Amino acid sequence: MVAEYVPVLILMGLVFAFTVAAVLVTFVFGPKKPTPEKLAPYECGIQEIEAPQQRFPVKYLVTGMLFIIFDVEAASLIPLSILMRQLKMTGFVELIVFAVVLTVPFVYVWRKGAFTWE
Amino acid sequence: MLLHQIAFYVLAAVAIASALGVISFRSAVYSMLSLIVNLMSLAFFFLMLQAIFIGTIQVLIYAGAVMVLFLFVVTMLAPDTESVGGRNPLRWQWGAGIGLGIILAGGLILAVVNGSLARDAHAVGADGLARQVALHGNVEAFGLALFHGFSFPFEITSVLLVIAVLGAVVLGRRILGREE
Amino acid sequence: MIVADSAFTYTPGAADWVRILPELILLGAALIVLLADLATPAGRKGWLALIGLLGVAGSAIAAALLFANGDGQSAFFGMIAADKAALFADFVILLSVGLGLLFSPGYVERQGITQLGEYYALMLLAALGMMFMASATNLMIIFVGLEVLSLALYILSAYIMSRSRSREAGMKYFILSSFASGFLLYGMALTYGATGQTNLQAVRVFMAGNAFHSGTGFGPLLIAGLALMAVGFCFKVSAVPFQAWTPDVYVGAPTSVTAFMSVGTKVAAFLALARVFDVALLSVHATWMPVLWAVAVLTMIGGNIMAVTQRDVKRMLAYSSIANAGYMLIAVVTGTQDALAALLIYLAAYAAMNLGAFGVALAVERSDGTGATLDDFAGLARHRPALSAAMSIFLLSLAGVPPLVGFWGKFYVFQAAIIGGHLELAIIGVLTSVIGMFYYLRVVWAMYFQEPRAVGIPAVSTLSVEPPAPAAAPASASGGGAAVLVAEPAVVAAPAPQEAYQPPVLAPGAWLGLAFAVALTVVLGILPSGFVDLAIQAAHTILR
Repeated sequence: MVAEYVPVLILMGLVFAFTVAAVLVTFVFGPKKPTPEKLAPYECGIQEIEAPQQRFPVKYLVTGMLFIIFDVEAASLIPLSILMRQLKMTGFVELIVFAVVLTVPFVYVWRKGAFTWE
Repeated sequence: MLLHQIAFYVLAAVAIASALGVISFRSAVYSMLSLIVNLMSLAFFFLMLQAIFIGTIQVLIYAGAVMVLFLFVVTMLAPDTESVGGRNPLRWQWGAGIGLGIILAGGLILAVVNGSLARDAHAVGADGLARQVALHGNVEAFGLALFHGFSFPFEITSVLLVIAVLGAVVLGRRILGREE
Repeated sequence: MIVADSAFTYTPGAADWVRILPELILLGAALIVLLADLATPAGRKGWLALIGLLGVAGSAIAAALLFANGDGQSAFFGMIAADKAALFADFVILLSVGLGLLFSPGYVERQGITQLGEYYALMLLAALGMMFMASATNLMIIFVGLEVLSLALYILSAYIMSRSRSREAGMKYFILSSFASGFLLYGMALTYGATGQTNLQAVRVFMAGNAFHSGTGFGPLLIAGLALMAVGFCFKVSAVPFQAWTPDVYVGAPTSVTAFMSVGTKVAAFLALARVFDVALLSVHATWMPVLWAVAVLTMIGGNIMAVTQRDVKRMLAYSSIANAGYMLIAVVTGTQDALAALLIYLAAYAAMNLGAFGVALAVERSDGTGATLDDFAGLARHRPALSAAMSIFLLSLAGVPPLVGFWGKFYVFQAAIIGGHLELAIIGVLTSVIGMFYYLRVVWAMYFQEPRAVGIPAVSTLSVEPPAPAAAPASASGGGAAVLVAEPAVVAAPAPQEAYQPPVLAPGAWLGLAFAVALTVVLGILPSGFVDLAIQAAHTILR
């Protein structure tokens, strides 16, 4: 049962090892000529013009929230997709009800322009 | 089995420590990061309980999408983290809250030590689920329950999502200052 | 008893969908409102309220048909009940959302509320959540229903974007209520852990078949679950000591929303509370009873005493709704079939009179959300006799004066408490009702026996909850006139005195709603037997 997931575990281990190794190797062998500007966070070699502590407009917030909502919807449909044949009509009816209920607000926010980026 | 137990205790320690971190960090960003750790350790608990689908979804949606959005919002909207906190004018509430929390924790520990959890006889649903998982497979058993016995909660979750969409639009438009 | 395996094979049929027809119609109406909003030009959003009202009416007809002809079985694997108690509760919820919608069009225009499509859709969806919660026979559905209604109400509370009090109401409600939802969910999880069931009927069967000891076995877990669920529910019905959010949210939210939610959430939460504590967990009545008993007593005393000190009528009504939660808790504590019938009667009575009272407060309110203090009500009978008469009827009914419907609500609750062995609760209820009499009648007295008050600039004088100017001591009827004379110069000397406050003209929908509420309050008060019978029938089905 869990044995099916051993390849995933091995992959995870490899990914982790590779990441750590890549960082370590560049850290150890890379040339280092530090200056104060370079040591600053988000260094790009230029002195900062003003403190970054200010508010940014978050235009994508609405998009992000809508994404999560439809993300949840999609996630709850994964088991349905696996069982579609087995569930026959029942699953189909349930899917249609679920999808219709969620399509209406989708059309609504679309027509209201929540997806436009001006 | 022993390995299983070691994993459980390590995860439990991580979960509790990160949960404490959520409520004790001054900076909202640190709190958020410990919440991600907390949700990840919960996902591992689900995996240990063989609930692979729930565990995956927990990582993908909670620890992934939701928390990352939170993190972006917090860093973008409230970067000066030092302003949070300061002197607490309602100090007695701390005492009361900690006291009641300890009472609740004590009661639950009593329930574990003295109560039914050792017998484990009442988890009717869990037994049935284990049988079904053996019969159909993991995600399949989950899906069968979701689309048969628990189809109604599944369906009305869509209503909850509709409200969430409307809320995002109503409140989001306020944030953007884009009223009609 | 539900066998675990059947959860994996159960298939919902057409009969299941028929049993939730009222909910389906309301959901359809909400979705149609959203689509219709796209096609309606900005000035014509009143049509959306009409669509919503049609949906509410259709849903009520479906509920009535099911009440008369339905089989009363639960649907969808024992998730949601279509028994008479659920349908009776649906009716009360539909009444409150219907009146809320009737009050809305004129009010939202005056308050400058935009985004009306979402507004009406959220009202309907909140009512849908209430119906789910009131009909739920499974802990899961109670929780999902609660979240549906709460989420919609958080957004609606914060709907007047330009007003900080409304934003504060939404924020406060959201944070505190989410916290309480967490308690409720934790309690449900522990109850599930103790009994292995989320289905209420199955929990009941489990409790009947297994010996309960508070110290061993599943006992400690169940007690912890009970305690946490009690906290969650008490917050949702705004019982003392979990009432702190109520006044701020009720005052800050748009009044049309307050009117609807003050009734609807109570119906939903009390039905769920009764189903969990009085049906599923009745066998451990002795364990949870003292806690809810204490909460009921605290709520009756605390709510009534705090209401006395309020000068803002909306705030007073908020505290009065806390006090009323106390009377309803008496019925839950008693837990007999009579008591549940009394609970339903009380809820129905409360719906008519409380919505009416908030409806009048909404009619008097200014466009900046102020103007519902006692001073604004002073002398209202001079220029708005009909409105004052309606308000008097609602307030007298809330005070429990016969032959109005509020009297019967209190009568049956106290009667059930006495028969059920809780004489002390009935006595406390009667005594605190006398306190209630004072603050309700004070408004009536202000409307009829006080001079209209010249009010200064509203932004300066009435934004605070405190009385704006030295006010007449209303308790002393004889000294009242003199006090008015003393108070008058101070007010006239205010920077820019206006005319005596003239409430705005009422929209036809609001008139219709108020007339309907008056009719219900009076007719059901004079001829209570019919609806009392229905409530008794309904209570029979809940304890089956």
